[in-house]
Amino acid sequence: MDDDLISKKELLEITGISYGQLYRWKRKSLIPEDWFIRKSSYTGQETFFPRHKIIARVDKIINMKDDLSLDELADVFSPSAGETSLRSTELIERNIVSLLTLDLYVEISGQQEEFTFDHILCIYILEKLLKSGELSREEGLLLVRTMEEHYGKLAGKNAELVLIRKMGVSILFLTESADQLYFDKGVKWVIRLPIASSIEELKLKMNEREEA
Amino acid sequence: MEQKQQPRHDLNISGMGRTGGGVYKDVRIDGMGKVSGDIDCITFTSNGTVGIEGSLHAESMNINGTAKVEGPAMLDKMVIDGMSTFKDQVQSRTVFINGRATFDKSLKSDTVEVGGILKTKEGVQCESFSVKGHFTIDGLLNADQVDIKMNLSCSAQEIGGENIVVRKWKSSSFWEQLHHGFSTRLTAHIIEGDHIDLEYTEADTVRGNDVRIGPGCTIRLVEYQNTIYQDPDAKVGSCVQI
Repeated sequence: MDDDLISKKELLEITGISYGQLYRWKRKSLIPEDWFIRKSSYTGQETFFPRHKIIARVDKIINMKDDLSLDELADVFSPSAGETSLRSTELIERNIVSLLTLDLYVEISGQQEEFTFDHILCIYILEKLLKSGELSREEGLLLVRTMEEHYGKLAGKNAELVLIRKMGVSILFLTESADQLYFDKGVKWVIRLPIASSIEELKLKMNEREEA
Repeated sequence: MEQKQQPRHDLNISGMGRTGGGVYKDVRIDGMGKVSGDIDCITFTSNGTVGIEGSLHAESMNINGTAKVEGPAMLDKMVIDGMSTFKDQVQSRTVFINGRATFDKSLKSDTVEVGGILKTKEGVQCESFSVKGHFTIDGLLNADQVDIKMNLSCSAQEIGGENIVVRKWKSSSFWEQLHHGFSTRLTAHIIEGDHIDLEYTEADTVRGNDVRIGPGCTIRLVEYQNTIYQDPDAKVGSCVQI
């Protein structure tokens, strides 16, 4: 049996969820159809799942299901960007990003009537990294420019954002996977951020406010 | 949304008629009608024979005769008192089938109530599935509450959900008294649920937390977590607690 697969039985045992919940989440497409892998085993036919993906997904659903309805959760997990676009005042009022970050963004890329989801995502990531102190203002400029120019090409894929520094010089780039990158000794990894996780966070944040 | 842009009008066909489809308020067909395109309406009622070659979008659909829909159907409420065939996917909030309905693709709904015959070639997904009659599902029946009362033999590839109850509706039919082979039973490959209560069921594997295997069951393997009850009149190959 493949190591990376987990049987339905084992999954229910580990996570403590019930058949009813699992089937309900499948109905609501919280768990993608292609994760259900059918195989015959010595006890008859059984369903298997990709181990890491399903356990991470189930944990997330369990943690969030008290705050969000299942339909809202389904939206959070859909890989596509949200359809929403918001005005700058809404972004501030709904506490999605701070005024400081928004001003910086506007300074870099100009004032806009409405911000699309991709723009908001960029501002959100900017804020997150600035707040954590990993990113300087100059590097923020790099981030916004790079996201604007290249993010469209990676949208819908599991892109990662990487920032490295050597001798005080920063290089920022977007890549589909940063797993296979090796540098010389003087290079320091500063940031490695999967964009998909930020999309999830942002969607949750936007949902939260809609309810309130 | 479209309602505001353009006023919806009624469409009545009495006798024989044909329409290209379009946006309407109430559509009523008494006789024979053919819709050769997509139709979007508030209510769709047919008392004769109707064929829709495109998709159907309606708040409520009422079929008292026969109907055939080639395209996908998006409905709020569907009542089939006659016979209908859906060639593509169907999504609805409530589905009542008192006649006979055939779905060539999947059926999705909140509630499905069958008082007649339901046949699907793919899966059925709903919150509550209750049957007093007969069904054949060539796929997965995925429903929170499954309540089956059979009066003819039923089958599904797989059944999954929270509560699953299977019963015979009438004690014994005329045919059954004549020959045992006519006996009414449910056939399924796998049945999985939290609470499973079966009678007259033939299955390969049954997995659940609380399982009751009632009279007339033939099951190869039962895997249960908490409780098990097995009727002396049931045949179970092996029974394992996990």
